[in-house]
Amino acid sequence: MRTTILTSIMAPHRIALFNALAAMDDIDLSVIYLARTDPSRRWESHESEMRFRHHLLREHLRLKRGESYVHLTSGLLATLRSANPDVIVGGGWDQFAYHEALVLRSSMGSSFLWWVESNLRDRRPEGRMLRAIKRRLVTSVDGVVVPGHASLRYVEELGARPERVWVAPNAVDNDRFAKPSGGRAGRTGPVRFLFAGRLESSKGIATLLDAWTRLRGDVELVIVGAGSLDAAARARVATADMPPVRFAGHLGRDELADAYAAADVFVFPSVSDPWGLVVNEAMAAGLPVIATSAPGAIDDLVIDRDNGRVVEPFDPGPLTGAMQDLADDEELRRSMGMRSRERIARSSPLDWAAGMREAILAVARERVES
Amino acid sequence: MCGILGTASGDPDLSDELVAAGLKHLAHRGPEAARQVLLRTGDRACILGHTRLRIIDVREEADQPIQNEDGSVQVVFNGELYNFVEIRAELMAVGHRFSSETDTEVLVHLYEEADGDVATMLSRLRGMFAFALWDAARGRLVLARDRLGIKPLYHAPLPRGGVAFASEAMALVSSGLVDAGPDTASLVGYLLWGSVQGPRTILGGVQELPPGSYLTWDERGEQVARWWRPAFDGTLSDHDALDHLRSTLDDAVRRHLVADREIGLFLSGGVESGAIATPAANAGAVRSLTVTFPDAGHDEGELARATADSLGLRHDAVPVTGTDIASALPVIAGAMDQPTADGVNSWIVSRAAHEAGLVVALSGVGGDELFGGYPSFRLVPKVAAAASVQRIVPTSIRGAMADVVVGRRPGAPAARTLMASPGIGSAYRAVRGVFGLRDVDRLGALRWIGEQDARRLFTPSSPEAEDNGDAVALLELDRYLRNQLLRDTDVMSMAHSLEIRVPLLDDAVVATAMHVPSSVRNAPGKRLLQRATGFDRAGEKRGFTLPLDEWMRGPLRGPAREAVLSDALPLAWLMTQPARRRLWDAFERGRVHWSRPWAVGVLRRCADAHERRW
Repeated sequence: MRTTILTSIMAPHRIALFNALAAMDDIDLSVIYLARTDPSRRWESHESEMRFRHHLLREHLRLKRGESYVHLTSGLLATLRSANPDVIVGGGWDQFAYHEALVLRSSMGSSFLWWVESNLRDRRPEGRMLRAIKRRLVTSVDGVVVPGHASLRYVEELGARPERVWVAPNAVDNDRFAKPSGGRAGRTGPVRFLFAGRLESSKGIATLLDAWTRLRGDVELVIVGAGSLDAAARARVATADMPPVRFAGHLGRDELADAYAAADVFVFPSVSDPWGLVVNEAMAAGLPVIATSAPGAIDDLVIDRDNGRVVEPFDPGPLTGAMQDLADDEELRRSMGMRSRERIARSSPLDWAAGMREAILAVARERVES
Repeated sequence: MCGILGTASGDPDLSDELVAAGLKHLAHRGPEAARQVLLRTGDRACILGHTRLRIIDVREEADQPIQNEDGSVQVVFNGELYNFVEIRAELMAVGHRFSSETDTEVLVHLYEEADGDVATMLSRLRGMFAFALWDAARGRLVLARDRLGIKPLYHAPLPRGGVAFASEAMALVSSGLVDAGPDTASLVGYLLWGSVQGPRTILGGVQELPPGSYLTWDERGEQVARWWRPAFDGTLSDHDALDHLRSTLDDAVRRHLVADREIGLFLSGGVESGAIATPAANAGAVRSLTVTFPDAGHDEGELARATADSLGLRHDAVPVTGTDIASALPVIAGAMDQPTADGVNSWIVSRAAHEAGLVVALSGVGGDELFGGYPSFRLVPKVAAAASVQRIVPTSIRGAMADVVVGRRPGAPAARTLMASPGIGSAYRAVRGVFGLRDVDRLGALRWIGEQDARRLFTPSSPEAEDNGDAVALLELDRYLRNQLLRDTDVMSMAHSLEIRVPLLDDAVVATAMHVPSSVRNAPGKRLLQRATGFDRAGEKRGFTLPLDEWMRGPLRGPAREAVLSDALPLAWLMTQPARRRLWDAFERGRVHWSRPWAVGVLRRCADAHERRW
């Protein structure tokens, strides 16, 4: 089945998913990117690892919207005509190109799937008009693909019929994070908590440092990532009285895997996140996860007191308590980490590809039958 | 008046020493006695601690905790019950035996009589209170707070399970019971409002028990429930309103004068204090007190003296200068349980009362909220109406216009109007806030908590009231009264071991006011209150406001400037140094209202005074 996925930028964590889908016998995949990257990302694109056809549109203008970007591009029509897809997968709501593709699909005779990662806790701006548009879209397209239960509830709340919604569990290349070059096994010293993500207010950096202020015992916090709060967070750590904090800056994919491997606990106090793939990565590395209830990933991946702890956003007290419990109990860290690894094994690129394939084949079959 | 502190837990190693340390922190609230008891029920245990300022039944035998006949119910209590005599008689009539003359003892028997139904028990109480009660039979701790939150109560989870509580939030951390860091979101809320917005505190994990609420901790865990909410229905006619209010106020003031210690009155030149002075003088009160500012352009000394003379009260006028306050600033900051941009006046009058030998004083707090005394009653509906029209203009354009307006006239209502979002709750924040969201952003604080979240967390919901006057009153009760006025009044008076009673917030007075239509209740000049008490002071009131603008350009300039600019004080990271410098320079050039640099400075001084190395 000729399938074209339309997505914003060359996110390296998607490569394994698209490779898995492209490897399926009955899927002929091409991916259209609107831009190589945006200023908030410092990823390498790892284009050489892509085992699927891909096209990069010409970007003319980039508009900042909150913490994300809208890419204004040209060349979509020609690229889509060339691909001549049976099914188009639009990767979200926030790019004009997705809506352009939706308009073009009828003239091309393609089915259209929305790939929606938003959830009801997502704090990105959503006015009444945008919500009305979304309601119209989820009921007018051929189907909706979501990464998990949080997004499923969101699209159902928008009016999507349950039989038109498929789940493709969000995933990363688990093997990459499960086979680290370093490892905590041989490391002595403080219990190491790891945060990885953009250093922006939406990631809950303030609450993390609030909570960290009162942690006791031999502990250290490693903060991986960069962002607008970088300098401010470093200044705060330098002047306030708190246990050690080390800023590792932005790390490449392999270095990040090493950072997970050397950590004891992953902490993710995000206040708004459609999913939060770092949770997948940390679990693949066998870490217990302390997270807020905000990211979509939490509904599917983290069970409170089983493979981690779930607290509320903007509430440093329970976050301190959860971190202290894990700091004080090595056996708890080990058992929770083990359950993280077991649980994430059910969310692999193959699982994602299987979910997406099911949706693609279903909507394509219906179009043929109709 | 007292301090309460304790814990309940399934942990067998509950620490007596930590509770004792917490009670030491609360000694100023009750310097005359301190006791604590450890109570066990099965695998659960509770420690109830109390520091006492003896006001009713001053005998040692009446010190707390107080228990029922068989010791199965014990309580520690902070506050006063103004209907305890009637309840006590009812309870004795059905067989309860009392061992003291205190109002506190009513609680344990009333709880028994209600068979543990907390809401039923609380609905009987008229007064200001916060208490902790241990029910041994149920293995249950009950924490409860009065309707409007006159008396404070904070709680936090214990590290090994269970709950700790205290009259002051800082007592929980200084005792070592709870280990709490800052709550950055709460600090942003403080900058927006000039007070910490409950139920959050600036201490992560420590929460205020909301007014009109109770908390239970037992085998099912911790649950918080609301037992009372204000609701205006406007069912009284103008004539009935006057009669009801007059009789209720007389009764309320008489009940507030019950004590075994001398009671004084705070007098300003305003309607509220005059309104309670008249019935108080009739009921036998003899002393009054006011604060004057000899180094400032104005005060209300003469008006207050005229009121005292007309009522035959023995009156003291206590002069306070900016130099006095400059030297007392570290002490004032330490007295703040949580930072507040508005508590210095309460500290000053409380110190004056303490130095005059008073242990109990009546205050007119609450009159402006209940009887439409604030400009907000006029401004908020106008701002809300304007905001609904101007929403078509992009925020960036409105922001630029607001900057021009503010540049010409600091604190101008027009600037606040321009930035308001639709809705009475948003309009209330625009009118009542110290900083706007854009201003907090310019300080650098919204780097930590994004604008959208700050707006969501700290903009009040618009009340469900058809009448704008009722809606504003509900917001005033839930925001300014709760988070600033009552909290400041409590901690600043308690810092001087002084009990302040607020008869205008007596439950019966509030209930009567809520039956009065807002057009009558909120008539200009608090006319209803004047007519009900016969105290006519229309047009003369200037307000008991400190001359902080003058002082911050005079004797307070040095310490205030340092508190804003110094990087050595806590929380330097919250706001950038260039932004703090711009703020101070703008104040010195007269382009920013004094309350803004004052709020920033107070926040940092308060954290420093409590040794929060944030």
